[in-house]
Amino acid sequence: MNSTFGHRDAVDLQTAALHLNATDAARRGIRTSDPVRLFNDRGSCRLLASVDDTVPPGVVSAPSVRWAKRSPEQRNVNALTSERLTDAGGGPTFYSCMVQVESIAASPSC
Amino acid sequence: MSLCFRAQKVLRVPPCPDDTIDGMPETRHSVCALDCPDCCSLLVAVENGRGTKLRGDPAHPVTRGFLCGKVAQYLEREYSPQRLLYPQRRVGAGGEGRFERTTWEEALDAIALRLKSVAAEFGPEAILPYSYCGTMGLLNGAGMDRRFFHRLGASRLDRTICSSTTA
Repeated sequence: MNSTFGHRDAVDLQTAALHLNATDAARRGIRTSDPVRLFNDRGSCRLLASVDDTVPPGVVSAPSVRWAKRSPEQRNVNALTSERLTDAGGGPTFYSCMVQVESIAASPSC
Repeated sequence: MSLCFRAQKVLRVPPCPDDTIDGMPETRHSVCALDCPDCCSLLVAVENGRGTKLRGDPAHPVTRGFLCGKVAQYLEREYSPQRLLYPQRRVGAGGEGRFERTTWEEALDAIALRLKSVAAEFGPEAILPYSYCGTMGLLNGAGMDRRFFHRLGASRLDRTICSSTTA
């Protein structure tokens, strides 16, 4: 799924979600529909938590890219990914990266 | 002006009276405008010149009525108030998001003037066509621009980002 149809509300809703495992969510006091801050040393963005079993503990998943202009502070997950290309084939490395997640309510900086 | 119907004009496929959507009187053949090589065949019901229903064409031997989750909603994109219909010229500072409508003639002249002046001052390699595909169809996505920029002598983009190691 890419961002081609991100103007549609249904796609916007899908791409606004961050899927977390229940173990990780409980440790951070995060429940489904909570706004969460996703960050690493490159940047941050805000998404809505979806606590489910689609990912194992230690992994979160943001399906595709929400349109920046529909995102809080006009930032999406592209703010977190690297521009580095793969050694084999010069492909993208934006499919996975190290991140941390926190509840927006628990974060004084938001 | 309709992306859905552009392919129909090129292919000159006539309206198909005996294969309709829900008995709608005017149903036309079209084809998905995105880049997947299977080029899903579409049926579009038209009312008063406007597409109102869309589905995959079950009679097509390859795609057999299939439409992906994105393109099944294509009419929403076709008639979205956010869709760009005319060339726009930026009037504010970069990033400010202020544009005004211009004509194709003015837009093409402005672009040609800029490309020529860059090529004259720095050489045509100073121009990098930066694009990929997804929504352009096979002609646009895999050929026409390449001929233009090759003739111009522009730099070539690696074009590995979506193809060499993914999908």
